[in-house]
Amino acid sequence: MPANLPLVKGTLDILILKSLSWGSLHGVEITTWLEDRTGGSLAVEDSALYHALHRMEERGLVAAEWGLTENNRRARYYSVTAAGRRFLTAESAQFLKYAATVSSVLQARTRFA
Amino acid sequence: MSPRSFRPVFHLPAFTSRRARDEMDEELRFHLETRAELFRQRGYSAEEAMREALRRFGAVDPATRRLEHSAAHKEKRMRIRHHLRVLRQDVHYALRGIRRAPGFAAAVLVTLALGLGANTAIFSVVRGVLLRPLPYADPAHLVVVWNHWTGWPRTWLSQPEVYDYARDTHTFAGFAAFTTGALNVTGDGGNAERVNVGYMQASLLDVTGVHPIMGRGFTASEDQPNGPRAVLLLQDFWKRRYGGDRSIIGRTIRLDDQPYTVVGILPSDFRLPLEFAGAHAQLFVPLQLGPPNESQRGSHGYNAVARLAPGMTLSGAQRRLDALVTRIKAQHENQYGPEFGATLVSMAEQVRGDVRPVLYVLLGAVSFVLLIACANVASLFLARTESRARELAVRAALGAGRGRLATQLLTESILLALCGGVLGVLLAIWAVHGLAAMDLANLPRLDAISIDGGVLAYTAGVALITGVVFGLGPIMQLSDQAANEMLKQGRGNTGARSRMRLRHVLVALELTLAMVALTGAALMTRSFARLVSVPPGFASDHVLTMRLSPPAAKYATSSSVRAFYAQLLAQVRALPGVERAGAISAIPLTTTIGDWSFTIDGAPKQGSDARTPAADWLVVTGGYFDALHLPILRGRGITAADRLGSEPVVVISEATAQRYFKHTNPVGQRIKLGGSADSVFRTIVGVAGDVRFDGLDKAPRPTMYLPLGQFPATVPDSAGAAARSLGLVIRTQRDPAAMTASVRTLVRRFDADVPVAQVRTLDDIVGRSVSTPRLAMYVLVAFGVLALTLAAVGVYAVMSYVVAQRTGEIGVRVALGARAEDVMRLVIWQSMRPVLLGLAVGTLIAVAGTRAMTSLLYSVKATDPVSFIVAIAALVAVALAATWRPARRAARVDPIEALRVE
Repeated sequence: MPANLPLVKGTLDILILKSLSWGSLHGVEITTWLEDRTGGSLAVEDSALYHALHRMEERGLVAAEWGLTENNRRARYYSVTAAGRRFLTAESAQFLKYAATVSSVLQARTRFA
Repeated sequence: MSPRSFRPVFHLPAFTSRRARDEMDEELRFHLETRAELFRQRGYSAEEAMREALRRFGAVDPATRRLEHSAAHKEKRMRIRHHLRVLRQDVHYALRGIRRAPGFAAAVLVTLALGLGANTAIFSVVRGVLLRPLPYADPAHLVVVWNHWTGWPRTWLSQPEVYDYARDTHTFAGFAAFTTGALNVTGDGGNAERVNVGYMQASLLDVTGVHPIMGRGFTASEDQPNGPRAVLLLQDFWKRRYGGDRSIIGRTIRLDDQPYTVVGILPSDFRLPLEFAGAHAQLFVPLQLGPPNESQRGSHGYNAVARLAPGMTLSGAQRRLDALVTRIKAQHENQYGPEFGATLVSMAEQVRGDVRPVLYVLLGAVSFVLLIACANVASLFLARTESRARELAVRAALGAGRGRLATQLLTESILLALCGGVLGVLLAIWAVHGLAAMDLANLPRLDAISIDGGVLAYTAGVALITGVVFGLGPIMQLSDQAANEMLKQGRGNTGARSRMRLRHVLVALELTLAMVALTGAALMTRSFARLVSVPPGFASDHVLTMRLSPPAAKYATSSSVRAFYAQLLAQVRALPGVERAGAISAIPLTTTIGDWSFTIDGAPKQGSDARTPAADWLVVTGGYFDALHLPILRGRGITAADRLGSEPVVVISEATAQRYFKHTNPVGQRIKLGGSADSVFRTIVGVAGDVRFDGLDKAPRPTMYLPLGQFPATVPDSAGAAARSLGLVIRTQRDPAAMTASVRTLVRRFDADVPVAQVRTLDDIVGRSVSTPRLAMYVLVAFGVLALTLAAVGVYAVMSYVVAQRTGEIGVRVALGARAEDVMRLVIWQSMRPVLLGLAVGTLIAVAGTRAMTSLLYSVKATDPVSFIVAIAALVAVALAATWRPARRAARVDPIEALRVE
């Protein structure tokens, strides 16, 4: 197992929104998508995912609806709302800027630029 | 828009918490199974796959519970937010609608503000007077103790009776006698001031459960004759005269020039049990009743309050007291007649009994006004809903359900009602301020009236109900069918038959209510007119009155008091503009007076069937009868020549003559007052006309007039027992109020230490004595006029609308040859039909309803035909006037124009 990276607060939300940005997914699909993209290095319990989904549903960032899987099983599908999309754009821009700033500092080779 | 976000947009039913939990369960099961399946595909055994799925999920049990919880909460919050959003939308929509029809909104708001304002004002009075608890501990167990005999259902106790009754500790857990008076306050650096004083037994504070806010109550020794002189101040008086100085406790102030030690401060809402209306005592001193004194048994002048023993009911206590009185009467055979008894009156009844009927009638009248306002607003709403028919139909066609449309209409009506309520409260605040300024001597607990939280809650509640009531009318029209019809019809014409009927019902309803309100106003007006036309027994015009009290320190002896009044009155009479002047111990219609028993010289000793004669007694100087134009029916009045040394005399009233000298000429007979203070035979030298001393609506009581110059006859001059505080009555040539300054100046020059108090014209005093019925009349007339106006507006609005709706039909009639008069007659007749129906029903309700007013009416029957006819005539006239314009408009319809519109 790769080393588990602790999740920066709020990051899970934008990761989930990102996973939904191509279309609606159910919970397991979101989990596996995240695992696939991160190589399983994020320390997220599956239950945290659902808490995040609830939170975002309440805030109107995602909408949920029951649908059928390929195997004809009932599953709850989540999708991004317009508000969620705006949120994702804004938050990911900010996160990227933040990450870039932090990494540029951490990768500095001299104390005085 | 993605289809999954439909729910919040279209307000699909939100989940319940229960369902949210179930769904969460299902989602979790799906999650774990699918996850395990994926692990199995990666080569895990079934068991391992499940374990891994669970591990990845986190600690399943708490995690699921937390998730379920979170799911349920999320749903709840989303639901609340959803409702708020809908409400905001409705309010927004309602506001937009109101903005689009400012005339409609203004009409609704004005109507509601009047209706709700009147209701708020009256309710604040009802709350203050009837509902607010009395300032005593457990007032439900307090009773006021009265004696009664024929003609006097509630009268005073005598000194020995106080002890007789108080001794019955099985009936009364506590008993306290009290009475009232007035004293001059001096000796504290302030101006001499005449102040109302309560004389009370030391036990009164315990009985009523009132605690001084500072200091203490009276001790038993202070309540003994010649005990230490102690005084309690009312908080207001303490604040006003002593600036709330805490060091006042223990200090000495002078009352009628005697030193009294201030021992405590009583809370500002404390009142003696009979002082909730009008002026009240500011100072309290011990009653100092002394040991039981049998010679006082015939002299009644004390009031008493008692606390019922634990478990004792009012009727039980009354039965025990009746038995006690029977025993007392047996012990004192010659003192009591068979009709003598004692009555317990509950504190609530005592304070509020007299005004309760007035307030209930006002409350009833004001409810009628509000109902009329509602009917008016409802018909305004009907018209508005119709003019918006197209808009509503379009919204319905676009998928807004009936429920949604109904909620939106209701939001609009409730919003308007609440705004009307706010305006109404402003009106009510203004009205209550006006009321407080009205100097209502007879309305108890005026100081307890205010627009407070309770009143506001009441108004908000009434406004809300009002909004729902008049919002329901338009909603009833909202059946799907009606909506369809609206859309089809465009400018609706005849299909609105049922709506037309509803309007006519509203008109009839308004007239019904207005009829009742107006009848009440007419009855009260007639009753009041009769009341104030009752001759009080004297001429109240051109008379100035004021109270003087020569201080005992300066005027210690009776003869000095007599000299003071004789000299002062001589100077007053000499003032330019003064016709006559005299003085009396109590000015009519300002207070009640005690009676004094007497024996008639030569009359046989009474058997047990007759009570000792007694009459209310007044002390007068020469000139009193003349100044008041009080007629002397036989013999002569009191003159300055009636002084010590001359023959002791008394003048009795007509009622006294009627009662005790029925078959003889009283003039020349001799009577002797009971007790030792005036133990001489007095010759009756005259009979004066009766005076309605206790109120214009109260029968005159037997009264006797004793001359200041020779009364009391058997108390040493040095005791200064002559009536010290007298009311001057001054008959003036011109406006009596204009004489105030010159009389005041005269008194100040004569002796600056004598305070002048209660300067009022006699007309003013008579006016104050009828202030409650006058208020009731004003309010009822105001409500009647309001009802009349609202009804007229209602009729006018409906008829205008009806004529506008039927323009086409009228056009056809005119085209077919109907003349203008025919059209007018048709329109007027049609509009008068609901009016007449309403009047008929209103008359029936008024006949039944005004009976509640019986106790308010003075010599007018509740079924007084004149009042009914006046009300009917006024309403018919107003309704006709209101129909006139619409009818004229109808008569002028140009058939070509009318049909073209069609």
